Amino acid sequence: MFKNFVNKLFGDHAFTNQLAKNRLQMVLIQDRSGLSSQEMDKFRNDLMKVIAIYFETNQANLDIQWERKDGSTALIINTPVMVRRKQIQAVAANQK
Amino acid sequence: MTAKVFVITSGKGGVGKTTTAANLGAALAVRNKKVLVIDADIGLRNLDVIMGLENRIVFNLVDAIKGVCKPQQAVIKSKKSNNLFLLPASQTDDKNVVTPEEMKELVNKYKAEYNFILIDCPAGIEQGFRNACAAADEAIVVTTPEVSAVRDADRVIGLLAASSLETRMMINRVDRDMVRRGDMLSPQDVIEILGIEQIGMIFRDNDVVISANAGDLVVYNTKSKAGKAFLQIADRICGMDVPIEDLDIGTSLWAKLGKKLRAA
Ligand SMILES: Nc1ncnc2c1ncn2[C@@H]1O[C@H](COP(=O)(O)OP(=O)(O)O)[C@@H](O)[C@H]1O
Ligand SMILES: [Mg+2]
Repeated sequence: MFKNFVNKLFGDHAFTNQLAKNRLQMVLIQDRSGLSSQEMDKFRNDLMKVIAIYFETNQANLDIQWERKDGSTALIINTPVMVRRKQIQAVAANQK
Repeated sequence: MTAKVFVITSGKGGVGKTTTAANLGAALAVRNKKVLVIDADIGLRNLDVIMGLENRIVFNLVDAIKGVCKPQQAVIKSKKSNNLFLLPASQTDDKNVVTPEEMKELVNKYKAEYNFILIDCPAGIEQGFRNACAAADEAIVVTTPEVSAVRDADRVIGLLAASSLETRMMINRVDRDMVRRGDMLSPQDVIEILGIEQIGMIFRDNDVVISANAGDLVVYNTKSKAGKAFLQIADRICGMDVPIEDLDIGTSLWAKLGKKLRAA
């Protein structure tokens, strides 16, 4: 309903610059990391497993970026604040 | 006098390196700097026709390197300015006849006579690119605001960073109306994604093509938007603080509101 109204008002213009930006960001993650998108998925899953040893991760949502700044590239991983596990050792053992 | 040496490069071809080398060179010359532009695109020479000097070539860069002529003999003065000079590429040789060391040695021989030396780099990241970068103090990476060109620019920025060349972006063929409508990446978008400083932007301007047809340079057309923008970049290179227009500020409120509501 609301979407229809918005489209009537503004035209159903797609704002292709946003599309371009998103696609660029995706492809640059591949280029900068050297990982294919399958390998990136695996990297993400492996990271989640490690994080799960220390934190409750029922809604963990990793945002992974390779950011270029002043000539060097930084791997930046963003995630919402998580609650630590009560028994880190025990969980670590269970993971095996 | 010791020239500051810039390499004008890009990942993707056809984004405006040669146009930039010629016009930025002319703009610096207008600002009373003595400038040498070098065509490092051996085998595919272009700068001579862009500067309208194709009929004046006697010797070229490869001749100067191989000792066929003295370095000074290979240099041609431009028609319109006593401050602007061209070292043409050879059209018959292969890129691999020159090594990065030879290139560096040759450029060093010119340094004492000029304020600025601009090297027009061939497309790609192979031998020709390495030759062109070898002698440079700083790099200007040219891109258009398109996914493919920005992606290739990122690759080149990575390579330049590895060889610790100070690097700035020039964004070419920007269409203000398309940016405002949300149909083109803005220069700010490109800079944010690439994470490096911007030296300027040039609008898409038919006068660039019209000047090129005549072997003239758009910098000399005082009415042209692109010409003015090249002069501004020259001023920035000379250390003046000339602000870069922020197209995102100009984006219509209507388009911004539409985008917000749609995202909601
Ligand atoms: N700002 C601009 N506006 C319009 N056309 C442009 C602009 N910059 C470059 N061009 C055109 O784009 C084409 C490619 O430019 P060129 O400088 O030869 O690119 P490169 O050296 O990177 O291959 C040329 O036809 C040129 O006239
Ligand atoms: Mg060229």
